[in-house]
Amino acid sequence: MTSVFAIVRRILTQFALDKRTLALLFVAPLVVLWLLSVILGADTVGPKIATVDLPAEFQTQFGQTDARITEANADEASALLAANDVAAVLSMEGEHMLKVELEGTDSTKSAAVLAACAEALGELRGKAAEEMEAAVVDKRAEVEDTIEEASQQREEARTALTGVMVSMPAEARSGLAEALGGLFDDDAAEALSAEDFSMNVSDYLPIEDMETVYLHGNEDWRMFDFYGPVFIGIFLFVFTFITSGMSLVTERMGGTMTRFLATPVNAGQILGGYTLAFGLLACVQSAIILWVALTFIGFPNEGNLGLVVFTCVSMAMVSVALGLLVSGLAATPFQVIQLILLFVVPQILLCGLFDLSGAPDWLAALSAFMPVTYGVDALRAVMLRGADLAAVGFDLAVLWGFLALFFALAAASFRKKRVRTTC
Amino acid sequence: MNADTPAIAIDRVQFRYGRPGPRRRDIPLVLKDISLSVAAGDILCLLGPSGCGKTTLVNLIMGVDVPTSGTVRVLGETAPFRTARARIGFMPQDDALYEDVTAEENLRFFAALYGVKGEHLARRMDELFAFVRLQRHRKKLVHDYSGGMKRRLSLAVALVHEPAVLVLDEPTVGLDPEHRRYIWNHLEALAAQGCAIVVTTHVMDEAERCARIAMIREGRLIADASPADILARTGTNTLEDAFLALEESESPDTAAEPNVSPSLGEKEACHD
Repeated sequence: MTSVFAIVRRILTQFALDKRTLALLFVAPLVVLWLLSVILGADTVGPKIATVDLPAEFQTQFGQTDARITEANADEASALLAANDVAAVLSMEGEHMLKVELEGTDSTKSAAVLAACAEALGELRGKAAEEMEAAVVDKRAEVEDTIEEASQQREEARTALTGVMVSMPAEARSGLAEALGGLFDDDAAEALSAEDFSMNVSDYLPIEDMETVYLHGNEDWRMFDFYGPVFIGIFLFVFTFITSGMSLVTERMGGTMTRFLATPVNAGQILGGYTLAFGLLACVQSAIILWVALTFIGFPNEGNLGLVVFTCVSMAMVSVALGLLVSGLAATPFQVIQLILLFVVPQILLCGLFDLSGAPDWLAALSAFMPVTYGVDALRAVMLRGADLAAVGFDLAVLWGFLALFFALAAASFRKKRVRTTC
Repeated sequence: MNADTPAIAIDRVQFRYGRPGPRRRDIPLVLKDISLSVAAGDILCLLGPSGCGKTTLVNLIMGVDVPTSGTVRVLGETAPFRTARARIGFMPQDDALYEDVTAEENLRFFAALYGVKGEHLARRMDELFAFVRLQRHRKKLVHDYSGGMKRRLSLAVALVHEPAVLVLDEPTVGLDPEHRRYIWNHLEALAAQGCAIVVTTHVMDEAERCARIAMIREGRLIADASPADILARTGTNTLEDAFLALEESESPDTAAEPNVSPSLGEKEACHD
């Protein structure tokens, strides 16, 4: 038992002395939990939808759903849709057909749009039915009044006629009764009502039906298809990050760093060598991952495969540079793991895995400083929307900017941190 | 570099670790006012207990660290030794080899960093594997090497570019007496060819082989002379006694408490 306590005591002492680990043990889970609560706890917001010249009743009704509506003309609306600024565009197709153009990549959003449309249409139908029913009741009352009036008049006429006929000779009386036979029947009233009851439902319902058009993908796209590119990006980034983050620490631990620094190579060359080597590995890695993912797992790819690979490799290179920077900051593999958690977890949370449109603005601002955000954005654009190089040029440029920044920082901090053997 | 410039010239060097800043002054100096020079063809032995500053001094000579004050010149250049670095050979205290590749790969890699290539490299590799007696094991993974074999391979790596200055940090730790003698003979041969060699050690009998010993204690140079001179000056029979005698004359307070004086001949684990 004493030995057990001795071990416990030693371990606790080590932890107590390792401030960074201690901080990470308590702070990291709290930060992650808090971030998650902000992201997931945000009010769910409805999909953004652009409407083009919808019937006023529907527009009003639609405004009561949780959808965030922008009224626009047709051109503006298609531009918004193409830029993924709205999840759908609603317009009229013909007289009574609602056309729903869905952006389509995010099946969750598509479903939300369709649900909002169905809700509004349902309400509208309900109202129309009520209106029509009321109209029918009015009409029936009107018709009944008319019939009532007619029969009364008829009755009066008949009474008057009967009075007159009494004084007539029997032959003349029967002849007149035959001639006036129609007056004594109710057929006329019935003919009148049948015609007036045929009502047109479309007079009350501005929209009878809707048709759905997908800009990208189709209704078979599942949630997975939208998240597929995100996972590819995250996995590539994380795994590359771990291997490159470990690399310099391993050199330092193995003592080869001392020897490395004694040779004529400079920091830039060492880091350049590492970045290139890992970049090549990333090329092979992403090619294989993509091949398997597209061929066997059934990831969608609407765009140029070469561009997808290039985006993946760009992400991996950024990851390598960030890993080297982290590796320069850490003295032991354990510290690398800690730093990886610190650098990777927020990026996973904020890169686009969760919809941040309902989260506070500062979260969205924070995600703008994370390379994974741009990588995932570009991968989604290419794989789901078939974007070309020009369309993802900004994302790629930002990625390469991050690469240059991390590389420069890593090179600057490289020589400052060394092995310290004091014997 | 002309003939009378020493290969290594250390002039009134002080060094402390830590970043520059107001609090750095509180960090004690690791090296205090050290001046030394090593000419081409010299073998200098840096002798001192663990933690005395030997490796720090080696790092300064290698340009890994920059002195807090004073200058370190190697082959006429100050740190970071832009052109001289290619002519310095270094064998660090750790084996500093890539264990997961073969011995040949290790040698080839470091040779490439020093710009040794082609036929010259092939010839050099043959020579070195023969010299460190690892011809039969050159295609083995370093992982499968014994401690002594790694030491010898590490020495081969340090020599791959035929350096003009050779710095060896505890080169013979873990070697058996036969290999130790063999390597010392070779170092003497190298010095005879004009190579300036610095060897650190805490093993006294090894230091006796050197023509010149620099004794360091707590960052201070307490002797710089031939073994015979040191013995004569202190009137002792062994370098160990000489070291203790010098230590006492240096610092009266440690002399009063001989128990706290650093132990010699015992290597402290310093990488855990």
